[in-house]
Amino acid sequence: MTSTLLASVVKRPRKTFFQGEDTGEEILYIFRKSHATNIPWLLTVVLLILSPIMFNIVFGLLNMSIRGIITPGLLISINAFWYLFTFGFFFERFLNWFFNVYIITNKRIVDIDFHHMLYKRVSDAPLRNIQDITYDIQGVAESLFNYGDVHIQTAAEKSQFDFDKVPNPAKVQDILSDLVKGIGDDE
Amino acid sequence: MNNGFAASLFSPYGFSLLMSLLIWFLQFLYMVFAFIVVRQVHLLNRTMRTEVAFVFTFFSYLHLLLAVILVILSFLIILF
Repeated sequence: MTSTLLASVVKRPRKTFFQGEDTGEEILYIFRKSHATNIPWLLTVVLLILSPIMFNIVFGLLNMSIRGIITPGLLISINAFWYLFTFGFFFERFLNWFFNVYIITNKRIVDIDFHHMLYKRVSDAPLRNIQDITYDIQGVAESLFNYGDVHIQTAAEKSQFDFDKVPNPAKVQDILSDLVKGIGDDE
Repeated sequence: MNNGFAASLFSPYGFSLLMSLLIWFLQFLYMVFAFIVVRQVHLLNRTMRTEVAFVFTFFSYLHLLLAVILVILSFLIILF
């Protein structure tokens, strides 16, 4: 279960279904953004956790006391709220990473986007409509952590799908190419 | 009387009370946000059902419960 929770690439996920899945359709791969893309907000979480402690240290070093202005009860309330907010921030960012997925089934590719709390977009295209697959790795971070964008040209209503910042994009391209070739051979 | 009230706001006690009310109001808004998170997790799990759906549901409700408790406790701190 832990591997399912934290993996950015899941092959043949168990007990996983998406809205609109057809009968007999099998999820082959689920891709999420590379873990490296989570580093900035994880560092923010660490900073949020340490902030009250650093705040108290600085006040102690400056020999300042706020107890005359802020009562102990209020101080506890502020700290509790701060850590609850930190948890909420972590939870929301994790959900954003976990549920923004790129799904490859035996029939189609599906792109599920949750841009923010109240906006969802789901796009899909049959494998047989895929015409071209390219990938790119740009910049130091992407080169270092081997993640990038996979661009998929289709003959569907939505002409291009982008799998953004997926790990090992060369492998993703290879998987899709093999699947598309397999569909072509069957026909 | 008005001058006395205005002056009391700038006393340490008055400032503390004002801060408490402000913090309580922010916590109340956050409680509303926590409720929205519960609804959003429900929608997310419905869009893509996974074997860890119950984990997200559990933490979303725990998050909401903690937010509600915090609002109540802060209100009690203001009162007493």
